[in-house]
Amino acid sequence: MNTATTLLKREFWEHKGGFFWTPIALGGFLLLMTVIALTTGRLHGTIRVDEHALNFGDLIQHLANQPFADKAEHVQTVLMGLSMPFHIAVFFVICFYAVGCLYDERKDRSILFWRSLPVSDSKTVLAKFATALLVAPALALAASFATQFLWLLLMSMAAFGHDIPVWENVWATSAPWSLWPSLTLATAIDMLWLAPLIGWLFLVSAYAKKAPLLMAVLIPLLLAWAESMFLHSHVLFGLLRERFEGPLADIFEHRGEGSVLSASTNRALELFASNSLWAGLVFAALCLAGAIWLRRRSGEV
Amino acid sequence: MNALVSARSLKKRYGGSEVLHGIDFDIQPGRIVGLIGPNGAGKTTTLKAILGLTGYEGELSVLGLNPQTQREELMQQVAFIADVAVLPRWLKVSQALDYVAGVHPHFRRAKAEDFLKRTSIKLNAKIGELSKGMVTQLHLALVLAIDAKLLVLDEPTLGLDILFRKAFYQTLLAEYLDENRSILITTHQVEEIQHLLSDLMFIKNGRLVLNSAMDAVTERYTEVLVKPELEAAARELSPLHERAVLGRKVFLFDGQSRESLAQLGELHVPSIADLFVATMGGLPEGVAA
Repeated sequence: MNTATTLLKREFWEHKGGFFWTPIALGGFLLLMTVIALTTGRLHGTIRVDEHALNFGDLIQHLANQPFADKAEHVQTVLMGLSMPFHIAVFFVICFYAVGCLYDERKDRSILFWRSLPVSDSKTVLAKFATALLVAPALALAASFATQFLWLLLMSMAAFGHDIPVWENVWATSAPWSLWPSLTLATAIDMLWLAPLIGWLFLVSAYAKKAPLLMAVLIPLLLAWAESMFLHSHVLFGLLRERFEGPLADIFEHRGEGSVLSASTNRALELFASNSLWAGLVFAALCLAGAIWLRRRSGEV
Repeated sequence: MNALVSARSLKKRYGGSEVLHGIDFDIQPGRIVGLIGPNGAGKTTTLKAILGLTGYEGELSVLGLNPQTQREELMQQVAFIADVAVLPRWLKVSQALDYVAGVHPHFRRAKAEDFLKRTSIKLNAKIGELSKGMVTQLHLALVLAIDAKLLVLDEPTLGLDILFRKAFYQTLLAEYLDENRSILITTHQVEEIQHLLSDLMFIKNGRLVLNSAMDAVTERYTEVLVKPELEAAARELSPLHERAVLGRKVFLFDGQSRESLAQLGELHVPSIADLFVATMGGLPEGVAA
């Protein structure tokens, strides 16, 4: 008997599609695209670099001849680009998970079964919260690292085929040993940053009698609208915007200094140091307490 | 022996209206108690209070625990089947076993597996693929493998066909009951549990109108198939209820001596269903006759 592990497993069983198969399918798709690009590109493709038409082999050669720092920047940009779809996918997966996890069990009345077993409501809700912010992102991250690793293997083969030194050009430049810890740190901070959003979805999921997603979206929007309408201020709207822009600053803003990787890490560390993050965690805790309270008193929908 | 469940002035209010008006009862070990009443009488509310699923006023002790504040401990020793529909459809049978084994300290997995082997339920099937009867068997397998002191059943056989209903109660009796454990059951299918029960509680509009051991019930209530010429005499003895069967009148008496009733006609032990109708005062309130 191990309650905590069992509770996490239970969430995984129910949402294996989103947590497990989605990142795997995504990785498979990205690698397949790479293989297609490599094979067809080698045969037919021409790409223009500095006004010169190049085939794929020439392009690799062209990149290999650049200074090391430039090469590293290119390879790391591509690797970061490869991890981006995973972050976006897991964001949607955990949002839909969060908005459904305390609603669906009331709707299908299975809550009566879950609550007939000796597991407290707080343990259940916390296990679900850990699933959203820990298990799901960890699995997505693992899949994105595996994808990056396989992508680098493909690149190694391509480089080998063109007599380009593999280690120096593919592995030393991409430096996955420093890339992966940085991405892990950035993801962990992003999840803390998203905690209030997920907490809010949990609260609505535990409260809504129907259409929790609609309620979760409409309530903040209506409140923000009412605020700007009647108080002529935009505090709430600003808060919402800040929350969504935080992790996406990589895409929206170009920060000139340093590599893409260090920009991403710095962006995450800035979030971590901000008061907003900690205020958000307090809000998340309040939402969770509310969700636990609601689950304790609620029967079926 | 200490009562497993003990309620004193148990009250429940929803909004402004009171649905339980302070009921008192005890459930002793080794009993099978039927809690019978029309919809909205407070049956499910009473069960929910016992299971810590709802708040209440008054005193309630279940296995010496307070259901509101000690729910997690309580549910280690109390098993509950709501009705057949509550097992999640996406869960696999093997996962259901894994889950209960993972969270319940008194679950004997081998026992549940033995039980399932005697059914046609496959371990890798999803619950959504099982028939309603199979889901009930699975739920029963899970619950009977829990070493619980009190089993609470709320309409456990709702929507099942008669074969499964019979099998359900047979299994329940064979596998579950011993002198230390009790069952509290609510159902609409009163006839089927008639011979199972050791105690009977009738609840009406939030009040217990009958709370008695079955032996005492059969002592106390007598049904008489009265000879037509003696109907007026029978009415003199203030019967609880009167109904027509095949052209003759059947009277139900509360606490009349058998000797005097025997002169009126043929004596019967009333069925719980007839007793129920009589006690509830015929048709439910608001329903035209």
